[in-house]
Amino acid sequence: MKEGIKRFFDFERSDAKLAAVLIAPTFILVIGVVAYPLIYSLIMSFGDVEFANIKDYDFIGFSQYVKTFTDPEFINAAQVSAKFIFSTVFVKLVLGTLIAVMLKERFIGRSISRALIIVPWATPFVVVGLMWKWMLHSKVGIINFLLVRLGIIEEYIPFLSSKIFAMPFVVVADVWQGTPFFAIIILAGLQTIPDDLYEAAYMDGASGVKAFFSITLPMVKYPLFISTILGTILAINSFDLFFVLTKGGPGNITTNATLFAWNNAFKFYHLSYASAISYVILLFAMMVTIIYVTLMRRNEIA
Amino acid sequence: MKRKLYSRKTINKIILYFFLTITMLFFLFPFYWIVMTSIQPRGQLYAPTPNFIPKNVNIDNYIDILGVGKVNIAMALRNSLIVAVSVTVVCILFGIFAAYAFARLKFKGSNTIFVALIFAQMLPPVAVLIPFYLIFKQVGLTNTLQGLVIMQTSWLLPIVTWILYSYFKTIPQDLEDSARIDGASKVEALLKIIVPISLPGLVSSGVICFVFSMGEFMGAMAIVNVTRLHTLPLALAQFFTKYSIEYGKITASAVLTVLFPISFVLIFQRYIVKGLTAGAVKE
Repeated sequence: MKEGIKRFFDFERSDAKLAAVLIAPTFILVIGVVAYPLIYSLIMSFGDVEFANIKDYDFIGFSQYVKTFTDPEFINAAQVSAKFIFSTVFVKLVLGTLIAVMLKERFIGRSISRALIIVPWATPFVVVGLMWKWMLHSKVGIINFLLVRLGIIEEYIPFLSSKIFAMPFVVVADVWQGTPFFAIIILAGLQTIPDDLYEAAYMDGASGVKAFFSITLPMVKYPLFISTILGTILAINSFDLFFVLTKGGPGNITTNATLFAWNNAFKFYHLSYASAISYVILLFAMMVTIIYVTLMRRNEIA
Repeated sequence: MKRKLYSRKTINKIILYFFLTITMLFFLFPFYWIVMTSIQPRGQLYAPTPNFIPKNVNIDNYIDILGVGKVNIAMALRNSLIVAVSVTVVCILFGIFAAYAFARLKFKGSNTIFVALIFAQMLPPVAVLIPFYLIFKQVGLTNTLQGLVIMQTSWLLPIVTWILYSYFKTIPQDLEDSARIDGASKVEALLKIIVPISLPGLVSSGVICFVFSMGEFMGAMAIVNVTRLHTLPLALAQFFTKYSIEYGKITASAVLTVLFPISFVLIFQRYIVKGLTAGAVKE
């Protein structure tokens, strides 16, 4: 430890001292306020702390983790998370790409469209949740009204308390909020493609669809990859939307892992168990991050 | 041949505008709908056929939520703005320092700390929430706005540092060198050369901080439980738990909640796109 500090303040390199001073606030806040709690909750996850007996800690090894992986409630929550992550990221990628391709074209109203499309991204999830909750209202919701008018459904459906529809509509609300972010990142990638690439392809008789798959997609590989990673992390941590839209219901059909951890911590006060669950979530997020960092570095070298 | 090409172009335009209309409707209609709901007299909300265009505009809902009522949205708006502005200022300041160090200074461990920052950015907030709560409780930061500022700052600093780092990297070293030759110190070069050039990056990370802070919900719910200190998302969620659901008031509060983030995003739209895509596109 002392050696490390000594090395950190190595004055031989002229930059080190200044760097130390400049990084200190961020270092203290991020490493201090994030790393310290992380160690705290790791220790907690090896104990048996409830809110009621917060002062006495008994080390019980991996018991909480064994409990996590054998708890049918957690397994359900993990499956809900998996379904949610997969569907929301997939739909956002497809829609985001289509929107980006559309917004790359030249047309009247392009800049206003580009500006307005990011507005959902600035909308807090709590607002997103109540917007959709209101539009999906079982008696006076506009979505029910329109679907009946269009003859798609016969009578009003209480979507959010339905076992079939609750999850898909959480995904719809999340896609509504998150797709613009994907579209912007992909669009930025599209704009780096030189036009003559397409001209050459069309000269050779390639169709629009073929040009899309042979030029566009390979050229936006990197933006697609980044949005997939960031989207996955966001989806793992998704909480607000579930909390406001469905509170995890009906039953536990929309209780994802994060909501499950939250409930255990702040509703049932099983602090140690909740810590173990959140560590499992954390390890999963870390795995995704490791893939991200590794591939990003490879990309920088290549 | 030429005529055929022209007609194909026209058809493409029509298809484009068709899909554009659907896309924009999907993304913008929900906003229209909450504004519409918020300005209608209460009785009309539960009418069998909804009004797509307001028949008689009525701002009772706004008067109710801004007055000293059951749910005091004015107070929540004030709390949210205090927290969001503080978080933004602190993040930008510390972010400039750290980003400059990573972008321009050579020091041991630079790479390791930088990667650690990326990992910190990816951490699930739920994993640090329990300790945050317990530690904050011990040092008296639960139920304070300062506690919220500290928590959110620690979550946002990595991304701010990352965005500013990508920005600083694009500034030619020569600019700084010539200032240094003229006798400026490193700190002066940072303040007089780098910071002014990076204004777009500063603006975009500032807006990102502000938007995140205005919407942050889970952490705030964990460490604040007195109504007096509720931020907007907490106050909004209250509508669902404590009182019968009054959609007129909820939508009015939602409109107030999105007012600031959306205005800033629209005003600084160009910068934000640059900030969001920093690092996503290699130039």
